[in-house]
Amino acid sequence: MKNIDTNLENYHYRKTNIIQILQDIQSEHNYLPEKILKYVSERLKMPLSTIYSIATFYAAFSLNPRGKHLCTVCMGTACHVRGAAAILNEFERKLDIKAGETTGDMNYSLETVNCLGCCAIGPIVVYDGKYMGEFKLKDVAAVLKEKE
Amino acid sequence: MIELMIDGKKVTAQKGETVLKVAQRYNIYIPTLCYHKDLSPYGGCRLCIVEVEGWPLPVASCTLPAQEGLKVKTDTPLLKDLRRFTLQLILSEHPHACLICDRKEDCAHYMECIQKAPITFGCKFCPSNNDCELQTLVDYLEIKDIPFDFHYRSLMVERYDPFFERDYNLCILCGRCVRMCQEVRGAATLDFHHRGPDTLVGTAFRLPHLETGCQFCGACVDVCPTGALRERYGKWQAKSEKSVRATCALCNIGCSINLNIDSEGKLVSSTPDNNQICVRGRFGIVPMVYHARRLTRPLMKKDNRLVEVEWEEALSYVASKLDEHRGKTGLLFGSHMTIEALESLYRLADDLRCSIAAPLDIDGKGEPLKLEEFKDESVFLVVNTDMIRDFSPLLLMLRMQSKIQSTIIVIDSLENKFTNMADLWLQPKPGKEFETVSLLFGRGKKRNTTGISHETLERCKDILKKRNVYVLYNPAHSRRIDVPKSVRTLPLYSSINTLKICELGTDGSVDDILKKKTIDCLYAIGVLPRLQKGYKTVIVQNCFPPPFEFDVFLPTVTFVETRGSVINIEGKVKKVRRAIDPVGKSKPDDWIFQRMSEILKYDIKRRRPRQRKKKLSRVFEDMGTSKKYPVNLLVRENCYMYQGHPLSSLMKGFQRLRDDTALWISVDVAKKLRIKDNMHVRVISRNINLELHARVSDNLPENSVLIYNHPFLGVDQNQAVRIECITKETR
Repeated sequence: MKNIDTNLENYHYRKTNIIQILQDIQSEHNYLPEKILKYVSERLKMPLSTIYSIATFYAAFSLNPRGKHLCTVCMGTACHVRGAAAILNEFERKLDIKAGETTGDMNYSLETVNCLGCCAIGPIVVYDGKYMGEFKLKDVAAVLKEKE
Repeated sequence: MIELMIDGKKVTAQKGETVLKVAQRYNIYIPTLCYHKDLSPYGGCRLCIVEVEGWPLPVASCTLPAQEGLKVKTDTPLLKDLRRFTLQLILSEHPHACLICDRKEDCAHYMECIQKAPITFGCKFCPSNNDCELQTLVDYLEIKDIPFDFHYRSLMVERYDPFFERDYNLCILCGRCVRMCQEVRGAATLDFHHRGPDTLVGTAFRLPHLETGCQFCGACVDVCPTGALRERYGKWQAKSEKSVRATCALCNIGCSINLNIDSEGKLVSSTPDNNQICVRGRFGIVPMVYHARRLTRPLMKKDNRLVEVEWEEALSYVASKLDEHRGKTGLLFGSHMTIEALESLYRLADDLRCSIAAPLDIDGKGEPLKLEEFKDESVFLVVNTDMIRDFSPLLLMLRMQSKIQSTIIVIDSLENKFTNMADLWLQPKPGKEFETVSLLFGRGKKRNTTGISHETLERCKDILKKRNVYVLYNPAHSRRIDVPKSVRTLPLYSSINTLKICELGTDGSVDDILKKKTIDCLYAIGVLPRLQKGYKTVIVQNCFPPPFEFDVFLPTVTFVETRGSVINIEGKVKKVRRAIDPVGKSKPDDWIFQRMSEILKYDIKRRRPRQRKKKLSRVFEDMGTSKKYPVNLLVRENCYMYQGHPLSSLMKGFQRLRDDTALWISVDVAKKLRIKDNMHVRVISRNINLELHARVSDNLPENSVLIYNHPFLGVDQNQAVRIECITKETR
């Protein structure tokens, strides 16, 4: 909780900075733990329901623990017509999880996103923050292998 | 003043008024769904769209401020088409077998059709059938079909909370409940969560309402336009045909309520009357009136057996006994009855020379609390009182009255919803609340033993400086408060008619009468005292059976079955109405007193009752734990009572809300004595020896236990106790 207090201090205990506060918690813990959100709600005198509402609204926040590696497949229109669905399918098959889930060994999390704003290089996959454009089906195995 | 045209009619508007409000003022109908008069404009449902001359597209009238010279049209073919399309989209996610059906009209008249849709979203399985805003809108917009695929959310109906159920399959996401909970009630239990097609209304982490800040006031249920939020009791009962405007007498605020009655004269529900009420008035009245344990026939003990008797027999017996024990009768009464009944009771007591007492702590003259006098920028210092639980409508009124920068400071050793929402919460050691108040105003002992740091006290003093300070406290758990004359102290009496009883006075406290040796006959009206000796005759007048032996039982009515007036905390006289006929053979209190004096040949109509002494202040002792009694027992008044019975012992919902009959134990005491929930424990002190079931709570300060007092327990103030574990059984 000490980290949270310094985090809140950095943002002057202002309710308007809630998104930045949540982002910092997320980058520290890889997800938003319920206990910490309750603590934040008490300290900021902000209803927990409002914080929950924000945390579930943005796809960038996760309320469940995420894996070591985060793999995000863009499912925007441009990527979709270039075969994003097949790429997602391949990831799901290889990792044996559905989009939005995490593997049992907590190594991989698979997520989808609706558009990343770089449609020209689609289909696009973001792997641990690295953008990989013109992604091909065979790249799936390569990416997963490389990280092992 | 702004002038504009609506549908060719010249209308005038105030600055800032929306077009929708102006139209409603001039009786021009614009369909709405997400709009509610008590809530801020939302502009979500888009049904209130209007055309403005010269503007390219229709706009939502609920968010459009009136402007000079606007020419608005509210009903054109284009608008009707757009509204129809919008509602069709909304209905593509709302089960609509009850809304769109070619046999709808026949169904309403003859109910001839066999079930034609799956049970979960069939036409007969919505609790608000025939009482639904969507049905009205579908009729108005003449929607005959939905051209979209129906999407059923397949969510579980949330039935695990008391008082109301939530079926979010029926929710249309108008957000009225969310705004009600946030803006008006300030509880913020509900909010939208997730996004896009997954959006839903709910609590944080979808917790049960019991685990959130929900006050169960039911305000969300009352604004829901669909059947998504519904009261549990009477969910499937008949639609109400008429409603009677009455007053809730369950606490001293005396909120106006509407009592809704069906075609057979049965009470269906009690709803607020354009105001805010609390869980007692919203969900407590109907189940209490029709309670299974309610006794509605006079009972008398004959040959050691209780038998049902007629009123005349019971009353003449009681009258003869009262006459026999003239001067030796102790009369205990609750404040639940009407002023008229109270006055006849006092006159009867004068004639019979009874000693009378009520279980109230009357401190001072009993001044009414005038809401008008509160100024802006005031500070409310609330001592030892959970205003959210016990006085929530009053708290909302206070906030309305002094909207600008009023600060709420709470001094309480217990943690509760109110301390969490207050601007500043000072948590002294148990029993040191009043010392804290004295310290804040620089009075009393100079040494600080309250456990609150010097800096916090100084900070608090700074807030109090140069502002209007009001000290609010509950006289049931406070000694006199020591403050300078410039500070107003306002006692929050919890039971209705307290001001009237203050005016009439009593012959001492309930304890005085119970301890008096000369008294042979006890007459308990709406009170359950803890008897300390045997009596020759015990007469009980109540709605529910008492937990002790009695000779005669006279069944009375509740406040919805009688007419008369009550006086509330503000000193306002309010009317209680006879909304339904008395249940069974029960009779109003004033009828009983009237009849009794007729039998005794007294004329109780004319005289004024004799003046009695007014003050009734209790001596509060200091707690001081010792080796023999190591634990602090905190005693708080239970404001959820009717006729001496805690509501939680009558209704399961109230028991789940807070178990008032339990002994609440702090975590460290429970750990030390290895006590778990529902285990039976014994509380022993110099004065008491009680057996209760335990509840462990982390809201209590260290080394303390808590009891919600009611007269039957006979515990009325903080003291040092010892806890002993009796059984390890769970109930």
